[in-house]
Amino acid sequence: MLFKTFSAAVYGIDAYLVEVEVDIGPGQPGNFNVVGLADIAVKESRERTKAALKNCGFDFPGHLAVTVNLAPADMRKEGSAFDLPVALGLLGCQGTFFGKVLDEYVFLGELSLDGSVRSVRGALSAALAARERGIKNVVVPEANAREAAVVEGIRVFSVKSLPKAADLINSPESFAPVSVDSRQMLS
Amino acid sequence: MRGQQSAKRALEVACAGGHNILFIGPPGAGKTMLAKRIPTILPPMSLDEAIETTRIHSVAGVLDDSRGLVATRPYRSPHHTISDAGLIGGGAIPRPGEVSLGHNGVLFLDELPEFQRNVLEVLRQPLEDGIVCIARAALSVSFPARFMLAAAMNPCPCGFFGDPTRDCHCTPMQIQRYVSKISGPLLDRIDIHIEVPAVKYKELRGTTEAEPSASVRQRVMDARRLQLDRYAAEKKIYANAQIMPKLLRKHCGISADGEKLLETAIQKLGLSARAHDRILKVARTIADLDGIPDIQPRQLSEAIQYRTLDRTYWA
Repeated sequence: MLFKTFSAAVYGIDAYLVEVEVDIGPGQPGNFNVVGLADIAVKESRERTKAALKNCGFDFPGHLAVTVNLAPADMRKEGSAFDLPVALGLLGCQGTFFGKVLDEYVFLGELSLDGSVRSVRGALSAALAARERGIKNVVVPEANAREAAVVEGIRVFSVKSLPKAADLINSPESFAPVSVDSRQMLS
Repeated sequence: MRGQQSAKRALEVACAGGHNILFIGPPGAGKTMLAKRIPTILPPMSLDEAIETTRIHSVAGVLDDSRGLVATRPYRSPHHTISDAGLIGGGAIPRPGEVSLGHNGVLFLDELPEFQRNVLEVLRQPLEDGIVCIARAALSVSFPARFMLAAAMNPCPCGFFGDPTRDCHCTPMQIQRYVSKISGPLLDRIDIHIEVPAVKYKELRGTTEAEPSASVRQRVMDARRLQLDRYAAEKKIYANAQIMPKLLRKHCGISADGEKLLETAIQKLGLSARAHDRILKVARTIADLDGIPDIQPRQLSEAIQYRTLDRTYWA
């Protein structure tokens, strides 16, 4: 079972889109590998996503093998912003989103062990990268919402926790995008 | 801020023309306070500049999340023990350094002679090109790094050379060694040197109001507008500080009287050809602040005042 979501990685001060692919299937039970030139913080997301899923009342498929690929696989990835898309990918593989395709969203967020979403670096650049690729919806931690909402032409949603992010995917109409007045922010 | 009229004027001139500035004075004279004023008298950031600055701060992880957008020009003041990577950026996946965090704002280097020479060397690319290129085995990244450079130093190792109330115990040799710690190429990029003497007690206790930043900013903005018009035809020049030597003649013409004054000053003070160009650029800015089209001897005299290091240490 394979589920894909989009996220973003920072390179200099620009960001580029990263496709987060989560695959769950037969193999050594308990195996959980993250590939795509991920650095230590990215690999540690295994522990964070596992604990976050369990603490929010979701299942973690401990009896199967999990593989996460962060594409493009030949660019070094760093940071904890992929926690949220990986966790959502794990949920997607278990049917939480009823097979919905999420190619209109970019997700960013670090996860606490209790499932709350923490701030990340480079949210503004990620929002710009999403707009450039024609992706209209950007889902970010609450602390990064105002920064990302400066970008015009996209809808920025702020999420506080993993369950909230899952709700957003299943009933997007009950969530309002964040809006800011950049001219007013400047004065 | 009380007192320090000539230093405040020098600061206004520096901001009006985009000139880098060096403050020379004893400890406690107010050099840091002056530098902190710079973001309040530079023109406010445009939305594009604010977005660019916010991106850099966001990527570096120093964004204050309650605001969302960096609204005032950044003011960065790294300690003199900073490494070269800390100043221009670095790391396995490169992150912005202080010069990029100061993009569109001010980089203030206090105690300039205390910075390591190899660290100051890395300022060359940002000062010249306004960007920093960092190459790694797998990737090469460039960060924006266009900032106004402000620096401060004591006049000598003990700090009290030239002070009327305290004795300086440094030998001429010590002073020479101290001042030559600053590399020639770096000094070359600083158009204005100003002495910041200790504030007299009378001025500290005086009742005259200090001028609010807003009115100084207005004069700076007016002067900047004149420069934008003047350089509309030239590529990538937005302020007098950026003029190439070959454009000096075109945009900074002076009268015959002015020529004579400048020649005398250069001979008497033993200034170099580089100092000559710098004086012209600064005089052009002063004329812009005064709102007059041609540089007069009055502006040249004031500009000559801003070559303190040349006069005091290397004459």
